[in-house]
Amino acid sequence: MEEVKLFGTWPSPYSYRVIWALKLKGIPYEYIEEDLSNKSPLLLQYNPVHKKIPVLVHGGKPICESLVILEYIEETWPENPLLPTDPYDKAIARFWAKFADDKGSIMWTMFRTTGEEHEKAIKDILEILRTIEEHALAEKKFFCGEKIGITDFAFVGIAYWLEVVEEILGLKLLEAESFPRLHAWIKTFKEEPIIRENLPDQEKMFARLKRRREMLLASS
Amino acid sequence: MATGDVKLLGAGASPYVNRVQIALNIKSENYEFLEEKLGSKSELLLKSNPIRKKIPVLIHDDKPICESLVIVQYIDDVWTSGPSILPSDPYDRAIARFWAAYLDDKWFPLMKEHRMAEGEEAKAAAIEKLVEGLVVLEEAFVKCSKGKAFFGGDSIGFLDIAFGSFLGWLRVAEKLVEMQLLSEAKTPNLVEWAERFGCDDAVKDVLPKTEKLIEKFKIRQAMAKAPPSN
Repeated sequence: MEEVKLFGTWPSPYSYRVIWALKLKGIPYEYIEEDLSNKSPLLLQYNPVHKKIPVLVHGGKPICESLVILEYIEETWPENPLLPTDPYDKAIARFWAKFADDKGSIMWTMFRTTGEEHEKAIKDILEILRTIEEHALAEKKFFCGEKIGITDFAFVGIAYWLEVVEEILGLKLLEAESFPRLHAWIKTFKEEPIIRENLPDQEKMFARLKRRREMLLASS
Repeated sequence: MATGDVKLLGAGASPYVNRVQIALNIKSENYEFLEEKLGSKSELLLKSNPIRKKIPVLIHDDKPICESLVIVQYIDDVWTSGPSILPSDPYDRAIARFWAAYLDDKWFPLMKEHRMAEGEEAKAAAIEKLVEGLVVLEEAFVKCSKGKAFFGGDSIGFLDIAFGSFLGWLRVAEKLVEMQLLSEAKTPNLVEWAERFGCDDAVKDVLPKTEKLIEKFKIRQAMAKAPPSN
């Protein structure tokens, strides 16, 4: 099998999406931690358009954008599938993964802002959580049924990062009584061994984001 | 796979809807086109896409599929007897998906940036970014086409559809700014590609004429400026 490398950063949800896919499929890879304040020449060569992580390099050929990488991994190594086989179910899985990607930045808008913009972001997030609760999960264990998959990875922001952000901002948006399905999903998701064993250190994450928030407030 | 009943909720002027129409044409699949009126959303649309309330929505045997590129991939997955839309090699597929995401997330939003920009300088800056993006896409074309007519090779494929659907509005922008955005000087391959794309059997009756789009654009502008009605 040709060599697989992953360029990522430990605080990024997008990095983990790829790590989980590779580990679930048992694909050996070399992990390279990037310093985004000092991007390596290799990263800039492999992702000249966006200059971002994650980048998967397979046999010397780079693939960029986490959801594109996940589809590539799924198609190249079909064992332990991460997408449904039925075309309709696959379309629904892709729809929600895209939804997660499109809406994910709002959490960071809430994190970065104060005042009116911040309040609006909170409102938007609650609406998004409501949408997912009502339309996406039904009574399934994971987003696409009994097995974890790409759609679950796409929503990792909610499963892990939101809790850290909530704690730093002193907010509680994802209440168990208001979002029982989401709560159940987060619990199930985090208990999956591959996920549990491959998440950023919570203390380190908290400290890093807390520092960031303090810096943002100080400069505004 | 059985054909079943296929409906497409959309509007002819939407590039996202055009993508789906082209994909269905490639597969020679008949469908019922349900035109959504500008400025209002039908009951069927709100029922079929309660989450994003947007067109296009493909309804196949009463099951709705939303998001244009998700729909195009669904069409490719279901109608396997027709020509393939996505490349067969996983790496080529990844490259096609990468550039389609670039078009949707980075390039096309620059059109809105230009529309909303105030003042000559801001507008010129937006145009420059648009053209820079086209130069990047020109390089992508050279790599993806490998000397052939389309991004997808000998026949149009996923990335041709994703990009080609924007050509109508690109022409509108060119008319409004009185400048060639796709030019012989900077993007010669794309100029020729655009010509070939527009003439393709699956495309030629789908992409609206520039004059019609300009008309729609002016109506939309007028609606945006009009006081809101109760």
